[in-house]
Amino acid sequence: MRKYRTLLYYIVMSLIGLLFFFPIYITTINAFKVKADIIRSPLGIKLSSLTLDNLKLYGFSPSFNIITAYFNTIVIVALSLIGIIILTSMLAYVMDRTTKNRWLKLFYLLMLAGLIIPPEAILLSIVQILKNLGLMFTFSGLILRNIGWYIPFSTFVFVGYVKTISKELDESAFLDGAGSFKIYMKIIFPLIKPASASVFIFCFLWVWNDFLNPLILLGDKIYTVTIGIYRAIGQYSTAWDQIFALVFLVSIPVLLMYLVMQKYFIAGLTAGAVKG
Amino acid sequence: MNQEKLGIQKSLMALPSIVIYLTFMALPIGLTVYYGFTNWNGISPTWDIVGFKNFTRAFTDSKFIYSVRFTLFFSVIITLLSNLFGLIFAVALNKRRRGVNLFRSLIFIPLLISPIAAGFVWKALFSYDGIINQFLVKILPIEAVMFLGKPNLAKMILILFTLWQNVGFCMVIYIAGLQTISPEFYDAAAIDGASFLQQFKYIIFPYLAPSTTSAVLVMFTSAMREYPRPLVLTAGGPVGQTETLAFRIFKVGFDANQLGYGSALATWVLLITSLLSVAISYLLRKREAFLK
Repeated sequence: MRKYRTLLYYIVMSLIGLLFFFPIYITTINAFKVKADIIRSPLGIKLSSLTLDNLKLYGFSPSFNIITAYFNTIVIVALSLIGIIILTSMLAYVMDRTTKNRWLKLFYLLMLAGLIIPPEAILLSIVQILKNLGLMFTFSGLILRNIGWYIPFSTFVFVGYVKTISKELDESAFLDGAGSFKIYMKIIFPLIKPASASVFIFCFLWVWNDFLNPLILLGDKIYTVTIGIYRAIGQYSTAWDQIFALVFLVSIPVLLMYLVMQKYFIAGLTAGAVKG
Repeated sequence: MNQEKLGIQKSLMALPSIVIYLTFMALPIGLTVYYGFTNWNGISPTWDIVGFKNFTRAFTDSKFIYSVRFTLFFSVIITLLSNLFGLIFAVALNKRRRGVNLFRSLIFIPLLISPIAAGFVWKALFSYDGIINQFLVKILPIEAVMFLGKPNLAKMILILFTLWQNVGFCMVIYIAGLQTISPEFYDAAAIDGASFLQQFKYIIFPYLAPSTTSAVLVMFTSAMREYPRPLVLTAGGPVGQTETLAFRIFKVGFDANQLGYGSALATWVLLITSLLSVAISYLLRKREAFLK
């Protein structure tokens, strides 16, 4: 009886696993096949007919260059993440260690609002602000928006961790003559690495995969991976070979990152979501 | 109340975040509400204040009303089903046994792919001349199905596609929650002869309350802002049947150059989403009270 139940469990879970994996399998194998082969047998693998031609042809076309797309996206992700992590961990430290300041309390409430509003509701106004600052269609404009957008989420994650660090630690450092900034740098920041990992993973995924904001704020000249493939493929395309090749190219960095950091990934995601 | 003074160093450390947040979050929220009261087209140097006209116009805008109804319908379905399946998979994959990590990864990985990229794959699968149809026509005596051309079918595919990417997130949150439940509870339940369903009802589900709050809120707020998936999969079609709130706001605000009216719609969306999120969070947090 027990044996049958275990067997049934594995059969059901394998079917579910296969179902979830199916679109990824289709994408991966068809990225290496010519169009005729995709149409003839979308599921099959014939090793002798696998080819890199599609990846080369569509990844390096005049309208879309995958290296440019990677580069732009990495610049935006990296600068946004550095800003988010440094600025909000400092803010979280100040907020947790200052209990009786009414301006900070007011700001805390304002940040709560930022957690629930939908991004599309304020995008029209962000365009106007960036135009006035002369930052429309620039990397800086999008990066500043990203930092602003993730300040509430990331500050709350950091505050959750800073709380767990004993105040006696920074008080003794204070008695030794260290200022607030030094205490943050030498004591707090190294101790909140799990929170930084959490914020890093979440924001990496969100910024890397973001579509709406770069689409509107970067304009026609600069493209990220998501904007790039959206424009290259277009809304009405049925060029399956191009679709599979490009989806494969833009997804591979995130998938590789997941495989390398699998352990931290899920731990970071759950810590962030439960604390935030 | 005694006001605590921030030292210079502390002020300097808090200042950049505060300035950026005020400029790129607080100000845009205020501006959106303000533009809603104007007739600005987004380009001309001047505009007039027109009062509540834009806000009331929304009630007679059948396209907007439809997108509110569709987005709410979509968000409720997505929130319920992602949590239901996430919870089932979490319970099934909670115990350490052979293969569990692989199954977890398979369910989790779709979450990593950008909705835009994934949308093209789902389109390649379900288009009229897509891969599923080629398959069906080959093995069954039927004609190709217009999966994305019929409103109800298109909505169903959109929901399946969104679930495919969301279930893994809920699953991970619930697995983390399950691991905080002390094994003693299960042992005690086993001694009392509780069936699995009783254990689920009296131990697992109540003690997962904090995870439920997080997962429900994240699913609901992210579904209310849905845009890239329907954009790629159906382009809002057929005949506007899968147009979400974000579609409406951009079509009015950017494409039709009615920034004032678009902002009024955005303000309604802001209000609806915020009120619903606060209500959901209030109701769910009440369930957590017994844990404290």
